[in-house]
Amino acid sequence: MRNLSLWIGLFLCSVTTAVAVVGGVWTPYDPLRPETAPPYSPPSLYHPFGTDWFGRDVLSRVLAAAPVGIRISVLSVLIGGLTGTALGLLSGFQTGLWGEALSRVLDGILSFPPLLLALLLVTVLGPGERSVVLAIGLFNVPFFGRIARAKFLELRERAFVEAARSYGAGNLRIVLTHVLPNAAGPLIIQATSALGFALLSEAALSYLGLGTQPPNPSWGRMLKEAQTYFAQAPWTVIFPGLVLIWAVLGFNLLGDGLQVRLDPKLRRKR
Amino acid sequence: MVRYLIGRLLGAFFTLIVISFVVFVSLNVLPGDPARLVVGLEASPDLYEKVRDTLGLEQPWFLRYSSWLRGLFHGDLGESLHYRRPVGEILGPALGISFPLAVLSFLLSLALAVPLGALAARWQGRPLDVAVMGLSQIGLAVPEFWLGFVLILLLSLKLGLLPAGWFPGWSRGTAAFAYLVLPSLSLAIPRGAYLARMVRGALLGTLGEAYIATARSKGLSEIRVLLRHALRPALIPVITSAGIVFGRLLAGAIVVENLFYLPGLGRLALTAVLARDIPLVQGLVLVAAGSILGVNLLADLSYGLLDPRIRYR
Repeated sequence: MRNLSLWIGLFLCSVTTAVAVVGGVWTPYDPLRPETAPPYSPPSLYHPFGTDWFGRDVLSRVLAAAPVGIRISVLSVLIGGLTGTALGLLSGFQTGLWGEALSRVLDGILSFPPLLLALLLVTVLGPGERSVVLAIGLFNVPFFGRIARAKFLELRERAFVEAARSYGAGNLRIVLTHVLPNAAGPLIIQATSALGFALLSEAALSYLGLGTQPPNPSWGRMLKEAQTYFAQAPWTVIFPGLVLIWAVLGFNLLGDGLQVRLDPKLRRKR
Repeated sequence: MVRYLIGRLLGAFFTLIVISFVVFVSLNVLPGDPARLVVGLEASPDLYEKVRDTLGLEQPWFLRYSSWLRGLFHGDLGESLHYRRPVGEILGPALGISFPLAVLSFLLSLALAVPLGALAARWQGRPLDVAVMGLSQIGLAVPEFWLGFVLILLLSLKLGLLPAGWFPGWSRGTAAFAYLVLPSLSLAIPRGAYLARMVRGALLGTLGEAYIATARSKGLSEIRVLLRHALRPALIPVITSAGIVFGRLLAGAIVVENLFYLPGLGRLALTAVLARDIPLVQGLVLVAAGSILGVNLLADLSYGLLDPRIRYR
């Protein structure tokens, strides 16, 4: 039990995955059906999370929103991670002006408020799931880019890479067989934590009305819709938020735990 | 030092120009017509043309960008398409809310982060450390708007301690500050959690240094060692992260400003972007990027004060 973060993170993430799988195929009530019970029914045996202002079942909506949220986070981290890694490696190759310019651009993205960036992008592309994926993907790019570039620059000087080069291995071969396997650990750690941040960002964008469109449930959107009535029906806010926290916490802890597990330097320090 | 400063300022200036250019171009190639949004869908073609003309939308985008840039050098940010008022006049009062909000949230997050991070580092691996780190993980996972809801429910509606939900304006004087407390708490807790982890990590680094052992061997009290010898150099990486946090707070409190109905820069950003109000968006982006660049520069300059070994060239 030395790596507490890893095990708690794994547990939280498995529950989240199970919830997302269940939410994709089954919910106690139709998440879109109004008047499953009187509006604003407090939590009860038949409606553990209560009902909202239309009498829709909050638990069903939370479940149905899970696969959407997870799908958006995974896709955006995949897109941002692959683009970022590719750009980072590229800027490592090009040590001259272009590499410098590329890493400046990555730093520029990094210094911007992420939500403002996403706001601009979603307006350019129009609201909806696709734009949200791209927007969150975009602000993931520099994080992966930096890691990949740093690894590349570090390994370029190492003896085993020079040995490979002396055998006539090209840049592409060196990247694929030497740099990527060595960078995989940090990249996987980054991706895991990025999933949590992506979930939070998706919720924020949906809360602003730019993400998942009604009547489809999303955790962020449920909070926005509950805003007007949350004094009468706090459960419409509390439960979607708690589920979101659970999922984000899981990814963050898993990321931390993996870091301790995969980074030998950190392990020694503990 | 002076050469360093001039170089940094020039660099920041060019970055701002590049950012404004990118934003301008991307807002211009996107579908969506500012004139149509100003006059509405039912307006007559005559009125539509007239509005297009007064907004200057007939000109190609590069002419509009260069005239915007020329205005900028004269301190003129142009006129908002949505509010039909000079952008500077709109940004001023919004900044008057977002800036105090950012400062308050920032101070609160530091007040959380530094003591908690220091305690966790001092008792590394002990229950206190585990508790602080666990709490900070939860703080990092909580969406700020959900936190805002819970704080309103508990402190405003249930206990009636603090007001929330609108802003009376600074004409009320310092009493208006009370309206910023809950929003800044919801902003400060996740950021404080993040910074507490940075403080702990940085302190763990310096606590292992030889001069700490020297300080202890001189018989200095543990508090003194922690605060005077370990914390000061440890603050350098923390200040970099804190600078980014503060810079992003200014125009990045979009969600919290919307939740608490605070008419600051973040709320303005949502309105401006939805209305395709290009001059206003440009102004906001300049303020956001400018504040981040400025804070970064201040953070870099503060290193010299914290670590006497650092010199600027």
